[in-house]
Amino acid sequence: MGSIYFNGSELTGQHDVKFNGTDMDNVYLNGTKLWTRHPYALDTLIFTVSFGAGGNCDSFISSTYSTYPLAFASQPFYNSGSSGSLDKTCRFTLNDGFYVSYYNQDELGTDSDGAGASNTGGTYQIYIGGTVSGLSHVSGGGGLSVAGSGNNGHSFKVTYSGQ
Amino acid sequence: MATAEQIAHYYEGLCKVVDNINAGKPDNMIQASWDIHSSINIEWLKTIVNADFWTDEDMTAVHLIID
Repeated sequence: MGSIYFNGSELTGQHDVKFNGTDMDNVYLNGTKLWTRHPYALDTLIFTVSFGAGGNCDSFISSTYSTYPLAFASQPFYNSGSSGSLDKTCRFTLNDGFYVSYYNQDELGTDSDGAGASNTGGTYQIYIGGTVSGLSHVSGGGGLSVAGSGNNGHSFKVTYSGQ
Repeated sequence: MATAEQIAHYYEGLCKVVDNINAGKPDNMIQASWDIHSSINIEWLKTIVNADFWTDEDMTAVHLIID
């Protein structure tokens, strides 16, 4: 997301720029885009999803993606196994400005201090087995301080950072 | 930045992962699932052992797995 500063302060709201009283979504200068409005207020929790061992990623792939398309660079997909497989992994990439802000694995604990050094984007992988599940960091974005596979279920949250 | 309490919590989770790997495949898990489960966590150990928030935690058991 672009940033535009006014008297040294970043414009962080969704509609900081108005023209003749009308909210602007984009600001251009000589045909070059200078600024795009934030789609959400900064630090907005976009969604929380939970997965149980023995379950699948079908709802995440279809309804979570279709409900929050701006959060994703592309539609999540099974990169190994499928909905009916005992073991399956589902991969997803977050758009810039969105990050995994919380991850809890039932056995192994909670990463609640954000996703490490970076809070924008990144590719992650959900693993669901018969008795275990979890979330792993693949690339970009920030790492996870809790491991990617433990007994029972897991959940994670995606938040808008605007960065 | 992780707090001391969070670091202790992460270390506790790390030790569970190490213990689980060292204990080997549980009876209620088939070999193929164990292979995926353990490889995911070993890859995570390779990354997390180098995290910049650790202080004086003992990582000997981690290195015995990943080295």
